[in-house]
Amino acid sequence: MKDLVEYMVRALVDNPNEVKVSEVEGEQSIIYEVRVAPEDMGKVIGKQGRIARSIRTIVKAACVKSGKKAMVEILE
Amino acid sequence: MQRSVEVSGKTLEEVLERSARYFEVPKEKLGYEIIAENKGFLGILSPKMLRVRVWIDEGGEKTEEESPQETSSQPVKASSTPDQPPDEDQSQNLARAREMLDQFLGGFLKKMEVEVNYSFQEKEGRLLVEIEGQDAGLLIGKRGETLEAIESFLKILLAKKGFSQVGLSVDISGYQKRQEENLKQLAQKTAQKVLQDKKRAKLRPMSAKERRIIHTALKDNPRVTTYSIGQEPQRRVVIDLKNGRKKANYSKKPRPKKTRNNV
Repeated sequence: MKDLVEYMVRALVDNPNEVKVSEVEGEQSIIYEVRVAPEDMGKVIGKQGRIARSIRTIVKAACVKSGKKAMVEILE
Repeated sequence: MQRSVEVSGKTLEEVLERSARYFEVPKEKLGYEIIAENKGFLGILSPKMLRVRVWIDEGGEKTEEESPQETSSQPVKASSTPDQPPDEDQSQNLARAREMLDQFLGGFLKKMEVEVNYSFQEKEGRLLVEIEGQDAGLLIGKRGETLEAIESFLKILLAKKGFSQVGLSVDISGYQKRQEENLKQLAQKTAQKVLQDKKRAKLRPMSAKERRIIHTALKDNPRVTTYSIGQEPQRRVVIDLKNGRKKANYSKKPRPKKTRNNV
């Protein structure tokens, strides 16, 4: 699933090489921490957080099968 | 470089106004994300506070928005855009957009680990992606929320790759189509009820896209009118009788007088 997050974020940004995703796995949840170049922040978050919301919803759906709750956090 | 700040305030409006002054740009040029929201626990004890990250939208990012022309008096234009490039250019553009999406979707669906197939159609100058298969339900999500997210993500991707004029719809196992039919039926049924009862009716809160379907379905009906009330995401369509009666009376109710001596 980490691949999926990376794949989606890389498609959106101008500096795909600076995209770093790390995975923090808990018992019931997985958190994906996304780091992008500062100038790409807006491209990943979007107006009113719209893009970030889409990414979160998609990743959540993809993790349904694993039975864990997925969260995506975007960090600077 | 993009500058961003984190601002706190009581309302989003206030935060945006302050940030606009800070960045010295008009409010409309700002992008923002709400980081934390204190809903005012128990209403009175703690004041409502918002924490918002604000940055300047450099204009590069053009998020596709489903801003419909929402007024019922204004018919929704179906396909003709004013400055359409010649057909050849357009179909070439469509073909390139399709190729780009095809490439993306292949990797995307594989990484999502879902068992589905997808196909493209071109209809009235728009691209249509249809997804079907065993995991279709998972991709549709609760009330279609995952489907919506996928569609909006792909639209953003199109805009990012320079295909902002390419229209796109995504459907999974005919879900959108069914939804649209249901909404049209709901519109007609409710309109009938409004005429029968001579009383306006409020529909459930809907997304901009859903509301547009209702408005469009009833725009040619001479006996009812539609409009929306409330704020997103609680915005809902009201179906009302046309003319013949005063519009809904939202004016103040007379309040019971307050007396000072009831301590």
